Amino acid sequence: MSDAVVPPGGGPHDGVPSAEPPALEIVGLHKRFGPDREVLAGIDLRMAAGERIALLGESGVGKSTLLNLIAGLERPDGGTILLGGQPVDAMDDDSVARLRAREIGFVFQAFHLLPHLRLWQNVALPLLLNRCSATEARERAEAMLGRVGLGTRCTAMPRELSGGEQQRVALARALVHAPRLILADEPTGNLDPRTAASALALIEAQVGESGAALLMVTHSSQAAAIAQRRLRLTPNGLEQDG
Amino acid sequence: MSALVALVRRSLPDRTTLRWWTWLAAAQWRAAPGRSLVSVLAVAIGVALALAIHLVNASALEEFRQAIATVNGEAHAQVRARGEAFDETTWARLLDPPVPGLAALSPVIETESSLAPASPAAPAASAAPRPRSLRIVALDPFAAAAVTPALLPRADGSRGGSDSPLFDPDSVFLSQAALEALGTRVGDPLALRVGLETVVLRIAGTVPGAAPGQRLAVMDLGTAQWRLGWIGRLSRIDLRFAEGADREAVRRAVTERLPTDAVWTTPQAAEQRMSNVSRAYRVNLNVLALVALFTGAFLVFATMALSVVRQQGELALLGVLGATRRERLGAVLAQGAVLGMAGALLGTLLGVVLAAVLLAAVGGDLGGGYFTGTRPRIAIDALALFGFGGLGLAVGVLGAVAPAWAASRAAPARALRSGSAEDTLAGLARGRWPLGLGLAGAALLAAPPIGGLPIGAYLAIAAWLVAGIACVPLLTRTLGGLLNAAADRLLWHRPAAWLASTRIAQSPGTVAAALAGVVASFALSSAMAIMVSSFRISVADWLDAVLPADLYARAPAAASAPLDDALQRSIAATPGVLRAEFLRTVELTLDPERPAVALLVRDIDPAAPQRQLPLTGEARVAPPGAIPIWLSEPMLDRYRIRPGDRIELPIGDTTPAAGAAPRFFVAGVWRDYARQHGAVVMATADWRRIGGAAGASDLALWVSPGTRPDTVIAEVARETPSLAQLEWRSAADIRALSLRIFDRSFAVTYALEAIAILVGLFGVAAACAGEALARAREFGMLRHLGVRRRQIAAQLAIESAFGVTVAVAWGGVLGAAIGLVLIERVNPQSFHWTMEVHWPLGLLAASGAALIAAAVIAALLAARSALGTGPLAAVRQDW
Repeated sequence: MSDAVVPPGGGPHDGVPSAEPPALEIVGLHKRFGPDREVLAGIDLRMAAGERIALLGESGVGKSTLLNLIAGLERPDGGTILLGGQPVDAMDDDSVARLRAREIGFVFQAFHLLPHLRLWQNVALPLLLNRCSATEARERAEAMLGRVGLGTRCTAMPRELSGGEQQRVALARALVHAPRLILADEPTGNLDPRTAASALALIEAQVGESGAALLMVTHSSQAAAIAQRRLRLTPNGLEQDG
Repeated sequence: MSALVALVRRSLPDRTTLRWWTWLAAAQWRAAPGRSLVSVLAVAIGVALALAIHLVNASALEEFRQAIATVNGEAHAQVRARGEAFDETTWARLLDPPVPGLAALSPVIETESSLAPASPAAPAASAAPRPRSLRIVALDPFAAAAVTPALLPRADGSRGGSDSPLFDPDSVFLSQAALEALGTRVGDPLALRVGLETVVLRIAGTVPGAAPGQRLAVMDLGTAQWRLGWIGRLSRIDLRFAEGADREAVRRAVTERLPTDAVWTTPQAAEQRMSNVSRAYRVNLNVLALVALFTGAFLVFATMALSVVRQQGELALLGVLGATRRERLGAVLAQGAVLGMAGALLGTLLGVVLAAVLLAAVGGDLGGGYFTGTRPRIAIDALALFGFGGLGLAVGVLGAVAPAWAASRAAPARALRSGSAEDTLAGLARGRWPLGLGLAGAALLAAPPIGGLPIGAYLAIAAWLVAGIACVPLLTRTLGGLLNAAADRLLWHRPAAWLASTRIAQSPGTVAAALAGVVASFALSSAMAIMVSSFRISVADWLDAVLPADLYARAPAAASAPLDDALQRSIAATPGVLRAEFLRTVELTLDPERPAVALLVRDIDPAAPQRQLPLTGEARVAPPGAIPIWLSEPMLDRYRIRPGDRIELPIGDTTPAAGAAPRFFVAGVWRDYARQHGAVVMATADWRRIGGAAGASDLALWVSPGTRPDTVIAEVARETPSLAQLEWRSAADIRALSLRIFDRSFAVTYALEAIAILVGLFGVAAACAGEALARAREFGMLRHLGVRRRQIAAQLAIESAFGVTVAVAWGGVLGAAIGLVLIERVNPQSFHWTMEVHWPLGLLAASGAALIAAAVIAALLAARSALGTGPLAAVRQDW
C-alpha cells in the first residue's frame, strides 16, 4: 500500500540530491499493542538526506508511535529502521541512545526546554552528549542561537522568553549538533499564526542550510507547506497527501 | 461580641470556596499520593509518640496520686520529719493539752524496707523481676480509723478485738498488688532486712483499701517500732481538723509544739512534690517525643512546597479566573490541614494503642526511674486526646503556611508561564526574618526557667531550627553556584554530573524544600546524640572520680546506720584491707514543698576535698567557727545557694545565738549524678561535734596489693558474720551497672532519635520518588536527546547525594548548636546538673553517611521506577 507512495529503494524527489545514502529507511514496519491492536502494519518510508516530509494524520493513528520507533524509544514488532544506514531496531538501549544523540534532533510542540538551564546550556545539551569540549560547545551553541535570532540572550533563562522565542531555542538545540534527521512534533502548535509563520520560515531556512532531513508531524497546512512531500498516516498505512 | 462573630464569619470561606479547596486537596492526594502519605504518617508518628508518652506518664502519675491519697487518707495536714524520723513524744505533746481545732491525730511510720532474697524454692511471682524493697506503713489502728481508714488491714480468720492478729508481734498485711508482685499468699512468711539482721514476719491478711496496683504493707505501729528498729521514733503524724476550725490558727498552734526535726506540711504538698520531682523528666521526654512531630512539620512543609510548585499553574489559573490572594492562600493551607487532620486522627488512635502496649509491656516507667515497678492502668483524658490531635492538625497547617504564603504572593500571569517554580519558592527565602529569628533565639537563651522548665531554651531551639531551615535555599544556591561555576570546566564530560550541578544551581528553592525534613531530623537527632554522648562520658568520668576504692558495701535500708564505731575499727583492721572509709546517709527536708536532700557524712579532708569529690569549681576555706560543707550542683539552683554562702541546716541545734552567722559554710560544689534532689557532704568529725549519731551505712575498702577482693569479703564476714548480709560490689561492677542503668534510662531517647531519623529518611525517599515523577517530562526530553537511563539515574543520585550531604552538614551544624543548648541550658535548668561537652563524631559521621547512602539508594530506586514508559509518555502526549 505504501509502495505507491514511496517505492522500496526510493528515488530522487523534488530537488533532493539522490547520490547520498538515505537519511532514513523504513521497511515493513509493524507495531502492535497487545494481541488485538495493530497500530502500524507494514510501513515503508525512505527519506533522502535533506528531504522535508510533513506527516499528517488523525489523532491516535500512530504518528507518535512511528516517531518513537524511528528514534529507538520503542521497539518494533517487525520490519527494519535504518538511520543513516544503521539498523536502529537491532541496537541495544545504550547504542541507540548514542545514535539518537548523534543523528537526531527533536523539536517538540511544548518546546521542552530545561527550566533550570540557561539558553546556551539548553542548546549545548546535544553537544554535551556528543563529547564536544565545553568551550567549543558554548561557542557553537551561542552561534546557533545567533542564527535563530537570539544571539544577545544566550545567558537568559527559558522563563524569560516568549513562546516563539522558546521554540527558536528548541530549534537551535535540534540543529546544533548537525544531525542527519530532525523529528518535529507540531512545532507551531503552541504559537500564534504570525509567530508560527516566522518559526516555520526559520525552520525551513535552518534545516535547509544544515542539510538535515526533516520529518514533521503537523495538523497545520501552513506548516505542511514547507515540506517537499506530504504523507498521511492512516490505518491502512502511509499515503501521499494531496 | 456580635462584631467578633461577624469578623469570624467573614474570615471563614463560603461553601463554594470550600468546594474548590476540596478539589485541589483531592488533586494533591492523587498527584502525589506517596508524598502525602509520608507526611500523614510523619504527623501520625509524631502525634502517636507524644500522646503515648504523655498517657504513660499521666497514668503512672495518676497511680502515684492515688497511692499517695490512700496513704495520706483523709488527713488535712501532716507533721513530717525533717530527716528520717522525729521523737514520738511529739505526738504526746500534740495530744496533751489538746490543740484547739484538731479533731484527730494518727502517728505513722512510713519506710521503704529491703526484702531478703526469696528462697530458691519459692515460686516465681510473675515474669517481672521480684521487687527488692517494699513500702511499709505502720500505724495505730485506733487513731488511723479516723484519718486513714483505707489503710486499715483485714485479718485472715475470725480472731477479733485485742486478740486480732493485727497486734501479733510478727503480723504484716500486704496489699493485693504486693502479694502478686512477691508471689506470696496470706499465711506465708515475709523476710525483711533490718540493718544487719533479717526479720521474718508473717503475712496475716490484706489491705483492701489500697489503690489498684499499689504495693504496700501495713503493720501495727508498736510492732514496727520494735521489729524494724524504730523504737521511740515516728516519720509523720496525720492531722484532721475539727469542723469549722481556723486552719491557720491550728497550724500556728501545732508548729509551736514541734521539735526542730519536725515540720508542718500538707498532703497536697506531698502530691505536688511527687509531680514536681518527675515533671522536668516528663516534660523533657514529651518534648523529645515531639521531635518526631516537629520533623513531621518540616515534611509537611516539604510536601506542600513541592506541591505548590506542581500546582502553580492551577493556582495561577484560579488567580487569573478571579480567586483572591486570600482564597489561594486558604487553598494551600486547607491542603496542609487535610494532611494534618489525617495524621492527627491516625496518630491519636496509634498513641492510645501504643500507650496501652507500653503500660502492659514495661509498666509506667519509661526509663527515668520515677515510676519504677508501677503497672498502672491507662488513664485516658479527653483533653490530652484533643490536645495532641490538635497539635497534629496545627503541624499540618503550620507546615503549609510558608508555601501557601509563597504561592499566594506569586503573580498569576507570571506563574502561568513555564519555569517559574523557582520564582514561587524563592519567596520562602526572602527577607531577613531568619536572621531575626536566630537573634531572638540567642536572646531567649538568657531567659530563666519558668516553673522549673527551660521554656526559653526550648523556644530558642525551635527558633534556631526554623531559622536554620530557612537558610537552606541560600546555602544550596551558594553551593550550587560554586558548583556550577566549576561545572563547565570540571564536569562537562560527565553529563550526569553536569546536568545535576546545573539543576542544583538553578533550583535551590526546590532542592531546599525537599531537604527541610532531613535537616530537621538530622539536626535534632544529632543534637540529642551530642547531649546523650556528653552526658554518658561525663557520667563515666564521674563514676571514675567517685569510685576510687576497690570494694563497696551498703547496709539495707534501716532507720539506723548499723556500722558502729567498733565494727568500723574491726573492718579497717581486717587482713587484706589497706584502707577503709565509712559513710552515713541522712535524709534532710529543707523545704516541705521539695523532696528531701541527702546529707552524706564521710571522712573528708577539708583542706583538699577535691581528692574525694569531683568539684566543679574552686575549693574554699571555711572561716573560723564555720562548718565546711560541700553541696552537689542541684542544691545551688533549687535552694538558690552560692559557693561561699553561709547557710543553716536542720541538724542538731538549729537555733544559733541571736545575731550569730549560720553555722555551715559552702566550701565547694561537686558534681553528683546520683541524687537529683541534691546532696550535702559533711566531714564525720564535724557531724559528731554538732551532735550527730555515730554509725555508718556504707563502706569503701581499698584492698592490699595482691589480695583478691573475694578473700577480703570472706575475711570481713569471718570476723563479723552479719556483714555477709551487706550488698558487696566492686567498683567495676558498680560502674558497669550504673552505665547499664544510664543506657536503659536513655533507651527511650535512642528509640525516639531513631524514629526521628526514620521519619527524615521517609521524607528523603518520598522526595526522591516525587522528584522523579514530577520531572518525568524533563527526563523524557533528555531520553529523546540521547541521554541514557543510567545517566538520568546517576543525575538523580548525584542531586540527591549532594542535597542530603548539604542537609546533613547543615543539620550537623544546627545540631551542634542545639546540642550545646541542651547541655548548657536545658539540662542545668531541668535537672540542675552540668556536664562536659563531648562530640560523638564517629556516630554523627556514620549516621550522616547512612542517610546519604539511603538517599542515593532511594534516588536510584525512584529513577528505576520513573524511567519506564513514564518519561516517554510525558513527552509523547504532545504528539
